[in-house]
Amino acid sequence: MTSIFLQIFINGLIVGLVYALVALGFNIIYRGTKVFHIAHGAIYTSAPYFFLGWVLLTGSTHFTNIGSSLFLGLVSAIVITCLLSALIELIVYRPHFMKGSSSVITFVSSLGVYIVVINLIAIFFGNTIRYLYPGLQPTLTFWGVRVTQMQVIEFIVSIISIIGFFILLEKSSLGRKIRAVSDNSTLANVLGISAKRIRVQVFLVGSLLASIASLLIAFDVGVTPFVGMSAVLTAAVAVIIGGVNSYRGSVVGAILLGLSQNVVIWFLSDQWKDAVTFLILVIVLVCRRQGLLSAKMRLEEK
Amino acid sequence: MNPNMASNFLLETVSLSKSFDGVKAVDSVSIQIPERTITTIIGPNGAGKTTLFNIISGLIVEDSGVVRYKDKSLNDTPAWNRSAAGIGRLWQDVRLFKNMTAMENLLVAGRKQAGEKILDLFFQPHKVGAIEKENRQQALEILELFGLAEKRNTISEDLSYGQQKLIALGRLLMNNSDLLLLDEPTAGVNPVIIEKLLEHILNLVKNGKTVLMIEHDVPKAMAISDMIYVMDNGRIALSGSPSEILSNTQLKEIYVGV
Amino acid sequence: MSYMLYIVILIEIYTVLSLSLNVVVGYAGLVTLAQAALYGVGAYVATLLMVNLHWGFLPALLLAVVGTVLSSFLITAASMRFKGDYFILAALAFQVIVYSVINNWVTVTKGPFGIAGIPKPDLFGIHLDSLLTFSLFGLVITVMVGGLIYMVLHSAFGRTLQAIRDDEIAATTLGKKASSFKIRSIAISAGCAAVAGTLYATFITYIDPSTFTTDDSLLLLCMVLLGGTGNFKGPIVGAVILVLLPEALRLLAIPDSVSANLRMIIYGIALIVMMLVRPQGIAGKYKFES
Repeated sequence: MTSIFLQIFINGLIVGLVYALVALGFNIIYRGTKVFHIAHGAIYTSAPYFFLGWVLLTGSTHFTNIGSSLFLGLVSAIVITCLLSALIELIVYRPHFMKGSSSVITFVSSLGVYIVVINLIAIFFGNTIRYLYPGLQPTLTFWGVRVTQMQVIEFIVSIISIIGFFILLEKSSLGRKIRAVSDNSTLANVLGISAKRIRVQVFLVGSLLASIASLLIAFDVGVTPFVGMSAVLTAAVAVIIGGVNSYRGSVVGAILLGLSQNVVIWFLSDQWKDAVTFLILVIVLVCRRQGLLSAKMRLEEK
Repeated sequence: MNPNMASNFLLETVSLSKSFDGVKAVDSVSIQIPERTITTIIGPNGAGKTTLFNIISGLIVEDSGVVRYKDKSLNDTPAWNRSAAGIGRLWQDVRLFKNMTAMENLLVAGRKQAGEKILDLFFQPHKVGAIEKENRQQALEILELFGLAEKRNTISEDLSYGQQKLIALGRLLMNNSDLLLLDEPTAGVNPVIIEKLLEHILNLVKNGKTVLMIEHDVPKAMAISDMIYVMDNGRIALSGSPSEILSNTQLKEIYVGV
Repeated sequence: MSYMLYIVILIEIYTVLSLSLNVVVGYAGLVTLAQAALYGVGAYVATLLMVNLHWGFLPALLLAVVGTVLSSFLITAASMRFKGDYFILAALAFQVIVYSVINNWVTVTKGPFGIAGIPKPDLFGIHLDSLLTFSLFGLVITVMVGGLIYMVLHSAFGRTLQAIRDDEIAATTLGKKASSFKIRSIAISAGCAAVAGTLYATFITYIDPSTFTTDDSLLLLCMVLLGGTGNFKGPIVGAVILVLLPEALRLLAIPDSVSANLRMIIYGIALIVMMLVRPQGIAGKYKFES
């Protein structure tokens, strides 16, 4: 009996760590630009499809072997996805930033971007599920728990990426600048930190994380043009329940959601996944408005 | 005029304190505002004056201390209910409803609004119509008082700044406010309108209102106030009648020292 | 001719939906992605009453309205505890959870299989089984609902609602309890969406969850944002565009498989462009300023 719970726990933990990448990306974009970047879901969806596009263009079929062509394909997909996000920042969000548009307007624009990108993908690649890894995965069993090769890769890659993110944030000059802009953009401006350049860089970092996450998942269970909404909403909820001002909170929130989703999938069905995500959001916000890890209490005044 | 003459104060704050991020924006502030007087708070920028107003309006919750209005603590009164008690707010940045006309801005502020209750709208149209007419009448009177009757259908963002401030003041009259919290009423207004504004304020007090003002124009404030408080770094540094304050050498230090 | 009537009835239903959504988006200033869920609650409650309990049209409609309004209080209750911007999430949460329930509670809603055999309305002895009579009936309903919304929006309630939208803090200091107005505007919107849902159910005589998804909420939101927010004619324009656009694409011989995606791309681009140059929509008035 315990092996079932352990299985659920392992599954949940691993998928939670992957979600954490998306959540960290969403959070850094929100804190760096104040944009509720729902198009993050479109960026998430794009990476596997850019990879598929590369596969079609180069005629590669042997991506079951870890070789240079696979590596090249992954890197290309990630790079192009990140460039796409930079493009979105430059042509959609930047004008609103310069104009001082309200957050509602920017959010709606983001929604528009999401709609366009997703539907373009659907037109070119169709609505049905695409698998990046053909056939079954080799599995590994320990303590009564079965994990696939892909899950192991997800675990390792996510942890490395998360650690890399925190190192970037806390040790590098880019990280320091991003933190400065997130905390106080006017002051940062005075110190000569260009908000514009930081904005682009923040989108690049966030999209890099999202691309890694979606490629991992796509190799694991496949991809459809519609996976993005669920992913970005889970990420947003993870950020909120973890406390917007805490990156660690986003990781904790994501793992929590991964675990909860897997409990629900096991005992109910896959269909309730998103409902559970939102139920947890409602519960956490009703009980503890500032999120689980955030130290700051909200001001009563606007 | 001796501020202690009135035995009950309309508004009183007792040791009000509020911190943000460890910085005390309002530090143990105690003020007493008697009815039918004009009190002005002066002080350098960032002294905590607007924060104090926000606490009195109920928009920020104080960390400690009490706001007492008509001898009752306002602790359990949410911001939206403080207007019903009689507290009105004039904003430093005016904050008229941009897309509405001058008349509509006043109508919204009317105290009785049967048309806001949906059931009344459908089942008691006569009552709703009558109250709307009353409000309209009152709004017209206010517009005429301020000499803005012909601007009544002008969109508020098309009015001059001074005219907007008058309409904002008019909203407080529509709202039957007894205590008028005026945040820098003369800021940005041309001198001709300033005189009119101050004249209106004096008349309102003569007719029973009470005014608590924040002002940067110290001479103008001194000229019409009964009582002055000087705020600096969140604390009340000095208080007294205008003449007492003017002769106090500390005043210059507070303003120039920063 | 019957094709035209079919289009007319769709426009009627979407006009009701659009006007109702505009009460929240354009007049209360709250972007919401829950309208399809409310539409669905109305449709399902009416359907279950008519199909399982053999209720007549009017009583089913009434209870559908009541039920949907009550369910809308879940959104407002949750969002009152969140701060301003989180209303979008509360609405989305409602949408996602409601859809999951409709789709998975198979014993009651038959899940993805949907419910068929919904009776056409039978009013005062007239059985509305022809397209013509239904379209006329739809017109009556649309005018009645439209009239109701018009009256509400042009009353003191509507005026104060817009004041709260334009400057909630200033309105609060004038004695307006913002939450009460928001709750009521959402309730009105929900009730009208239930009317649209009941109309839809009795028109198509079959409903399933695929009409009430998050994407459908997105579509309805696009409709209102593009047609115009904050006035009366904007949403009507939006409804007409929403219904006619797929037909226009069909006339251009665009294959159906691509048509749905192309339609959304057009909406998406229109949304992006609109927010940059004309946030109030084609025929609207409210610009979502901060």
